[in-house]
Amino acid sequence: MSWRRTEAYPDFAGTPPLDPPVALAAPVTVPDPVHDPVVDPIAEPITDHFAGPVADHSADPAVEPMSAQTAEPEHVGSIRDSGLFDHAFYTEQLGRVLDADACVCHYLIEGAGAGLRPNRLFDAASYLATHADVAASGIDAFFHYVSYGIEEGRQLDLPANVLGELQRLPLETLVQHRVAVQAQARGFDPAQPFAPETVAIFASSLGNFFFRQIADRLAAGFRAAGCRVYRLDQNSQRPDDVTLDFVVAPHEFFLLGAGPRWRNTIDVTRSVVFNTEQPGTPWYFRALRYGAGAGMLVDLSPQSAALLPGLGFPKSGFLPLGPVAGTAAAPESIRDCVSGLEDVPLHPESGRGDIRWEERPIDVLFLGTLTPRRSEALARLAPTLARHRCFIHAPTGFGRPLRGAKGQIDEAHSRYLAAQSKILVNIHRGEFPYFEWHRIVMLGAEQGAVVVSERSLPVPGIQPGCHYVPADIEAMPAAIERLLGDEGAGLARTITARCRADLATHLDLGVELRALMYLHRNAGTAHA
Amino acid sequence: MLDVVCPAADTQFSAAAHERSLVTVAVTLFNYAHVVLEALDSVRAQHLPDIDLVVVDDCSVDGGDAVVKEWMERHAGRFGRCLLARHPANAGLASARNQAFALAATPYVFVLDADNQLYPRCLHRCLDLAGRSGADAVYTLIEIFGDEQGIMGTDLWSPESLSRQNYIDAMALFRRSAWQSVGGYRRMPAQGWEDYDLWLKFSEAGLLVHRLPEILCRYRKHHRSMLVSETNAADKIDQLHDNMRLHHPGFVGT
Repeated sequence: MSWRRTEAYPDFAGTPPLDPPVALAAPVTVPDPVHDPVVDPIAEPITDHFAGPVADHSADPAVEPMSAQTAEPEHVGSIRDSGLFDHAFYTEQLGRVLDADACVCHYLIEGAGAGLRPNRLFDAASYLATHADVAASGIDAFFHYVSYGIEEGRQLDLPANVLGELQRLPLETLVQHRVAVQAQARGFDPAQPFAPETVAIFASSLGNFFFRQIADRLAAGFRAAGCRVYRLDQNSQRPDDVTLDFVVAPHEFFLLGAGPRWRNTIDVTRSVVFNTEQPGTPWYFRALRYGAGAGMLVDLSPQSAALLPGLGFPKSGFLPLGPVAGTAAAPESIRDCVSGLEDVPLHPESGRGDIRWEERPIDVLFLGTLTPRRSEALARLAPTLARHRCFIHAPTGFGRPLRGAKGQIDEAHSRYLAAQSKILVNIHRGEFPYFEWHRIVMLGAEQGAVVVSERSLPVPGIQPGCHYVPADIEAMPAAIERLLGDEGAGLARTITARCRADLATHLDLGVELRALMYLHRNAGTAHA
Repeated sequence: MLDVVCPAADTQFSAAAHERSLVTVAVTLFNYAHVVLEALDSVRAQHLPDIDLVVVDDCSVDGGDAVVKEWMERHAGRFGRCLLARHPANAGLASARNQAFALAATPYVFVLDADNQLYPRCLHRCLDLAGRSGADAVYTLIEIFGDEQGIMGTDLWSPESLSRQNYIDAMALFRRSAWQSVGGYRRMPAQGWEDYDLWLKFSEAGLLVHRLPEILCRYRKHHRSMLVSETNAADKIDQLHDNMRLHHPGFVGT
């Protein structure tokens, strides 16, 4: 099934990607010491069917500029107003410059038929192949998608080349989208005094548990930045003294339960919206839709963040969820939350990653919603995992326990579990190889667990083989056994020390959020 | 305590080496002669030293009982008690399970179908969690193997979720007295829902059930399994739902 596609991820076997040095005042920068990898990079032949040659239409016969009259004006208007037609990307494919409406017309009349894409993530042929009713109707696929498909939650498979294209985005480009880097370009100086905000962080209580974890982590980060924080959900009252609204996972928050009422309550244009959805899911464009008009749209993925300006979000950026300084000690409530830890000693210091690695009671930790891909991957790992003490929390989403009910693993509990664990395993939820993987690395870095992760799209500042152990599913059993074997403690010492030295210092969430607030106050971003 | 009535059974094999065991593995067998030894070998390979084994053959016609008997003659010394009982006529899954529980002489019983398997740490970990927490039942994550590959049993015990659909397999550790207190397994109009019925009884009785967060069991998926071929046929579903509503006022179904 789908996991096989990970074999074809672009190669990590060569020199691990290193960030270019970025001239930033400490501690925002990623000075990125060049490390030799601690673990052997995986050397395997890469037959990358989606990193194949990028379609080059510049050699196509010249096309005369279209006039707006030759395409349905309603379609042109809907597509233009959706903000999802990436003008720059389209002209790049076309090999010449047309104005925005002319591009949309060109697309509708012949571009779609010629295999051009209205943005990097939309492929008309694939959409029509998935949705036979749309194909039968004769309606233009992209017009259908922006007008109906997004709200209907229609599946949108990634175009074949996209992962390769995103993989090839230069790290320098990714770095430029980082919130702290944009802020610095506009004069942000972390050493300067800073007037804190009163922040309301909203996340749906009815949605996926890890979005609440992200919201909790952000709350800790804002507090570390000196802010007063209200951690709210769709049923909350918004206090009057809030100066900054921050919405996590808008596609859930504005949709579930009492969520819709907030669409008219929060002044979106002055808020920050955090997209946590990944391209290739039905929720990605829905999230962008609910984030439309936001004062700022930030994203967990640097690659997605790099796409956002072309998708109608000039004020956007990559927000790395770095480690938070001075994280709280573990809650005693963990045992009310989950069973299966009855023989795990409760350490008063266990929320701070202070337990010696060799003495950690949990060998392997996995935290993530169960998807078909993860289900199959975990089954492949089962013979290995069955040999070791594991904590596998992979709820199906069925039954959605209420807040505070058994089974809620919030951010504090995640930290607690990571602090008790030797290895933190990351398996991508679907085809798009990023989602929260760098958040998992951060959790491991903060709590002293070694992260074993499937290979992922690059993230500035995080180096495979140095800060985490890259291993595809086939290679994971060997990686796990090696870490739990004789040389494991030595490897773990090196990896966790590098994480502490590099990530905690240069991706500090408190500093990143101060940069975010600076950008937000100064109305816009560097590439606006 | 309710009496759990079981059909008469013929003892085909019986051996007793010691009475130290805290747990009996209860294997129910019906026409799985070709795979039952894999199940039994997985019990023999358990890290837990003291184990009792009870196999109830529900009148297999493929010679499964003879296969088990021969295996027991070789390996009975691995177990405290080692017992093979055979129903003279096919009595159904609920009766076979109840028979195995009734024959067990230990405070805990682990339910294992003849086509499934355990990983070696399974019994030790389940018993450890039950002992430390006082749980009446413990289930683990389960690896699906055979014609499909995947994981199940990842969701935590939730009476509310359980009232809507079953998401917990039969393969679990039970406190024998808890099984008895709810009257054991109930014979259902269609096979396959007996386990759901028992979990609902546990839920209604407010018993303590824990999920152990490790993959310690293996569930064999057949192209043609009982649930696919018999239970969920459309004409049976309505009858089953009515039956469940009758016995479980909180049953919602989906």
